[in-house]
Amino acid sequence: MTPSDDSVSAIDDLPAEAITRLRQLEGVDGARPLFTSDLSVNEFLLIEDCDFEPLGLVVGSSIYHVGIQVVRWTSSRELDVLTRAMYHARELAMARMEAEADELKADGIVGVRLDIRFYDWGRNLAEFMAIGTAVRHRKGGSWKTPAGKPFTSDLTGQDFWTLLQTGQRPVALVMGNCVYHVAHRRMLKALSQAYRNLELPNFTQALYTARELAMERMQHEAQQAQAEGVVGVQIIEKNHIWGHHAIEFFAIGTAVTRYREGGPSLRPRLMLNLDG
Amino acid sequence: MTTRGFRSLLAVLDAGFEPVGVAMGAVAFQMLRPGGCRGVYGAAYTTSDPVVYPTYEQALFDTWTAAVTRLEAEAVRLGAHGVVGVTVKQEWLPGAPSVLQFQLTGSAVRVRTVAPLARPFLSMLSMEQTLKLLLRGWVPCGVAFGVAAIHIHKWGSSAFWQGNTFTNAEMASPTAGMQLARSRAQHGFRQSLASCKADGAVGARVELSNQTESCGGGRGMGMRLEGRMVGTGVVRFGAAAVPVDAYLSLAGSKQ
Repeated sequence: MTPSDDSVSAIDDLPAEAITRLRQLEGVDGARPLFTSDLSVNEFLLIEDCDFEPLGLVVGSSIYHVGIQVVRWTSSRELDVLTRAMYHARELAMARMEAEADELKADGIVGVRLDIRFYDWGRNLAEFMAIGTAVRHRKGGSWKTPAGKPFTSDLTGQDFWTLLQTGQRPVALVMGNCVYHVAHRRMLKALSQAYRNLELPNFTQALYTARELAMERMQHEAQQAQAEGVVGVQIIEKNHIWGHHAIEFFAIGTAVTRYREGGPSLRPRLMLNLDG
Repeated sequence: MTTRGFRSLLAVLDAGFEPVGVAMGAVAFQMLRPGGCRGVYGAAYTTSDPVVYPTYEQALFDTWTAAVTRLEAEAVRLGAHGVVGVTVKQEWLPGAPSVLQFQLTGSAVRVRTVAPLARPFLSMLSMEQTLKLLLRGWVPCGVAFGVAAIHIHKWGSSAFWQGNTFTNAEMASPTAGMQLARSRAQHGFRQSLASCKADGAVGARVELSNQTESCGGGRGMGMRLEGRMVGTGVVRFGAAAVPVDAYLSLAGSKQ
């Protein structure tokens, strides 16, 4: 099983309210077009300096019921039902955010954040949310992904500006995950290992395997996006609501590719900051 | 007197502004909160669709507008051209749970040589950030606000009632409710932004809070979602005065 197999087959239509809001941003109702963004002032000015204009804040979300999977207490293995749920819900949120950006005729989405919140209003119910600022290049050009979607990136405005100076551009936000059950030790074994310094191979192996699976899946997505590399990779480990022995490893980063030949267009100057 | 530190004061002076004092706009508003989808403001539900509380949304927006009007009036009394670093405090008073307080506070600034404006500008940005905008040809023009209040029914958010107790499934009703809450907050924000005659907004934040509330008729406890979007409107007034440059800072380096 790979979570990527669980792809979003059909993007739901955007809610009517969302379409109205996006059209208003474009100014189709006779009003003046205006943008909204969650960019900081520094990010806004740097993105503008790259000849990109912000178009609007785009959001996708999904409230997802994460299923139940039973495993033996003493077995270390991937919890594929949970892996699929966590991946599919994120993918739904991302796809809806991209659909909003498409509606704005954006070239890409910068500063994407993916958040998860578990609510107390239902067991195993979580909200997955993707949010970012849709941007369009003033001079046009081919900034979209090979699949014709707006590019996505979780880089800050500062990192985005720096990346473009080096001749690289973001292609897609790529991710991979793995929810893994780490086996409990049997009572006698735990007692025999008490009060000693020693490696616990089953724990090491389980964590290693889970991390590798998440990384491998992220790399697979980057290859699918025809990227040359992935920058800003983060590996996030969380138990969420499953207790100590079930852990999600989530790898996320921005896949990049070269858009022009040559080295960096700007050589940084060295400055000594006199702040303590 | 300013609400920020010495560095902010330097930025104020460097931009040709001078601080004239701390301005505040506050309002305490008695408001009936919805008592569930069959409560004070809502109607009985017949579908799983989320319920909107338009009267409650309007009451929240009116409270905000009153606080903004008072902040602007105080800035005018101080002879200011604008208020920067505006902070927003919104709370239900602990001793009076039906009273909502909005409090906006910021540093009033003016340019000595310029005549007073009919309506001072408001900005949540610090003076350092405002200075950066000014140098790149932008100026803050107002604080925009959008709000939403939505009810999601109990059975719509229950995996059991949806037949997905043990399986992975997207929950349609709460997903639609969340999207609706964000969209309505953004819609209100956009209208507020347009009234400031802004070209766009920076530093906008969409926040959602949730609270359990009755679904009425013995149908269990549903959820009220409140969405809020606040940010600073900006408008372009000219070309950038300085180019963007890059430097390597050694601050914070331990090597």
